Amino acid sequence: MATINLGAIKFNWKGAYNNGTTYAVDDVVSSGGNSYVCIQASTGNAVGNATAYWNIMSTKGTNGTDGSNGTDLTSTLTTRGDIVYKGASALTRLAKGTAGYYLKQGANDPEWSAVSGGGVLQAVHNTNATPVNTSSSSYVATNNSVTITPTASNSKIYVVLSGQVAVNSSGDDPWIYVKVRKSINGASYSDVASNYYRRYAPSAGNIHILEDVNFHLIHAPATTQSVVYKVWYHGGGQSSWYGGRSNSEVSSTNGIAIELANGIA
Amino acid sequence: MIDIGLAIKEINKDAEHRIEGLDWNTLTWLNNTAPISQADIEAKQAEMETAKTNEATAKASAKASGNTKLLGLGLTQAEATALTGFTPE
Repeated sequence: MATINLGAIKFNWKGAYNNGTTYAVDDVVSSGGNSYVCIQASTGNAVGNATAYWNIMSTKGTNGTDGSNGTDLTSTLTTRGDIVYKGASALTRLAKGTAGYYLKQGANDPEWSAVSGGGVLQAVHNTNATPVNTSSSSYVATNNSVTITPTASNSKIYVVLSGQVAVNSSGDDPWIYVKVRKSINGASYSDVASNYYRRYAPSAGNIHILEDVNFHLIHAPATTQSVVYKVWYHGGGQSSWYGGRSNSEVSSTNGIAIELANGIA
Repeated sequence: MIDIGLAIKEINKDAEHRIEGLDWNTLTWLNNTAPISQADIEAKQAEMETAKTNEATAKASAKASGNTKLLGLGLTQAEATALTGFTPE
């Protein structure tokens, strides 16, 4: 009975090419990441893409971890919060942004940016019903104040301080002196607003004057520490009250501070 | 009650102080002012209050006395009131 040699009916995997091994047709070897199929039996004929003994069977893929065909993100991203984007020529790290900032698209690349033109960031209010009396001729602190801790150092603070000041004088020519001072993080007070002076017409005998005081000002404290805005006053050495006309005729003072995002005011 | 600041100035016209409401614990003396005791201040307030009351009483008495004299001159009460504004109670 005649027989027919069908040859190999499947590829014969031979592992890595060995120069001393005798290979038969349809043997398959690996070399340099590629695989080759033997098309003519031989020994010692090196593999190649298209030789008399070998044909390429499969070509290795691009190596993505050797730094030439890919980017190792574990070295690009170094800090928690970092993000990566496509730069002019390569993947580029955008370092973690400042808390409260938002991701803004620049002309070409993304960037972190402070909130601007956003409006009111916070508002605080304080009221007080304890008046202060003084006979001093120099400024003393009232209880008309408001405390705010800005969320950003470039914020502006809109401050409103209001109350009533009175002079109960037995002398003539009374004056009222009022101004706003600030203290940052518990430090000494320094002036914020220009002095407010009010002189009354000379008059003899007991004088009882009640005057509304309203300060509206925009201030840039340039800090994220606590800021106290407070009214200071005196009556030129006459007995004077702030926060009412006497200890029994009290009018509560009010302080309001509104933090405005940079660029609003 | 007489203003505490007025009483202090009555005791010492150059005195300078600061106090919150009537909380004596907050009383501070400024610009080297010699301290004045709470008792002295309250005594001065009482003294000034009495003087103020006496002054008001004397003024009311003078009005009544003047009104009586006007009536003694033959004016009616309406005429006297028109002149002085005073109306007996």
